[in-house]
Amino acid sequence: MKTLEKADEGSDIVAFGRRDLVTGSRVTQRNPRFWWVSDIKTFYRALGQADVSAGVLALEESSKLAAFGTHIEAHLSAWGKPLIVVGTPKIIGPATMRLFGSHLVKYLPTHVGEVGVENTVEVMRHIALQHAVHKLHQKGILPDTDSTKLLFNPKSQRLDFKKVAGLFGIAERRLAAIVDVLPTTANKTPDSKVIHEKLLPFERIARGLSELDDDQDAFKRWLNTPNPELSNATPLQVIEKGKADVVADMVSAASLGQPI
Amino acid sequence: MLEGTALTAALEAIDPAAFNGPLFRCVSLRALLGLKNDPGGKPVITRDPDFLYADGPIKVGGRFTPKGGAPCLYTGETEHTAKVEKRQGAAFHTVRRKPGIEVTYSLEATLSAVLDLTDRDVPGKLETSRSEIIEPWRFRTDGKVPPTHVLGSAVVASKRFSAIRYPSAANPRGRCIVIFIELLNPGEAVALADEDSIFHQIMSMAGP
Repeated sequence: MKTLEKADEGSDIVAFGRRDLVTGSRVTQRNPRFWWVSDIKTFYRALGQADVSAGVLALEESSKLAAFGTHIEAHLSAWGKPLIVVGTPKIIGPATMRLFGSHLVKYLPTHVGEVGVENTVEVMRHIALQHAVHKLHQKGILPDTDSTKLLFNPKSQRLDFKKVAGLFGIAERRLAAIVDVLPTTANKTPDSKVIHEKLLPFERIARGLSELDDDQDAFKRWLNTPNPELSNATPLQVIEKGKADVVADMVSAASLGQPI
Repeated sequence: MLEGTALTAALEAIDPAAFNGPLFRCVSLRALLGLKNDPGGKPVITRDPDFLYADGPIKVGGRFTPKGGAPCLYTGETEHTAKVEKRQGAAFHTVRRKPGIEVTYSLEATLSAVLDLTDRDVPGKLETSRSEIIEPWRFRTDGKVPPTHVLGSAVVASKRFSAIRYPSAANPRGRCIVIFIELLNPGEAVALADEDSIFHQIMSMAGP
């Protein structure tokens, strides 16, 4: 059985096929984002990995793409990742047309270069994200998060521990204890994936800022005011007992117009 | 509040009551229309209003609904009760007195299987009291499951009742009814009171 060990930790685009169709024959330098695999099964398995963000198939013959097409079609939505097919226009034919109907699949002509593929991946990911967000908005599932933008690290798009501590007026050491992370870890990686997930209830609570015209002082006052719905404990006291979810539900209930 | 098999047996011994008449709901316009702000800060409608939306308590809990419980509609028997219940549930009322735009509307209910906790005899049969029914449920200092959740879950499991009538926690003279929509029996119904079909006309004007 083939292992899935990557050539490089930073590589997040898995590629299979003839590399020269992408890069052109004169390119010799390795692009650290690309992980070229030697067989199609490894390629499929890699696409299922969380740290792989896109796939590239560099093929010359349409028959090869047609042979892979059924498996790809069946798994594309589960992978949920952009797939870029690089080749000459002749690889697009009746047998492969359906594959190109997916918004996740993009055709690029040969010799586009690895940088060209990278740029396309970024554009596709951006469009896919917008599409997903739009669908959630349409369903009314995604609440208005404008008010909580201030809690996110703009680069990683994840919640930032220090910013959350600041808005809630909680000492960083205390917040670390509440969400059960080491203060040194929170200090070193304040927007790590693990910390982001632990801070999600805090983001739901902060959505209440929109009810308070984004007045952060009023929000802090509210956090420290006894609330009859919480048996006259303050929201902050409930949060400090490790029950941020309860306060988050109360805020969500308010936005849904639920009675007490 | 009784629990377990004692509660189940007590519920079996209580006769379902009937309720026929209007019920009221009050919701924020923001929630009803799914208003979101566009990048320019302008509110945008993101969904058609669902006046019988019953999934809210599943997501965030309700007085008789543990999170993840049965879909249900919380209503007030008067407009005033619906309004004050909503306002006190508005989380931020402790620092903000002015509510946003609210929409109050009425429903026509025909119910034949109501557990009536406002009936003088019923709370005693369940070994509960008015104060236990209206006490805060979302956060309890003793960490115990709220008695109203124990009762709500038992009512849903019994399938003997499709609704619970109970005293309002926000309006001392008011009464509320929570309707478990999936437990409605043949002949029971809850519908938006829209005699002139105005809502339906507006919706058809808005297009598909």
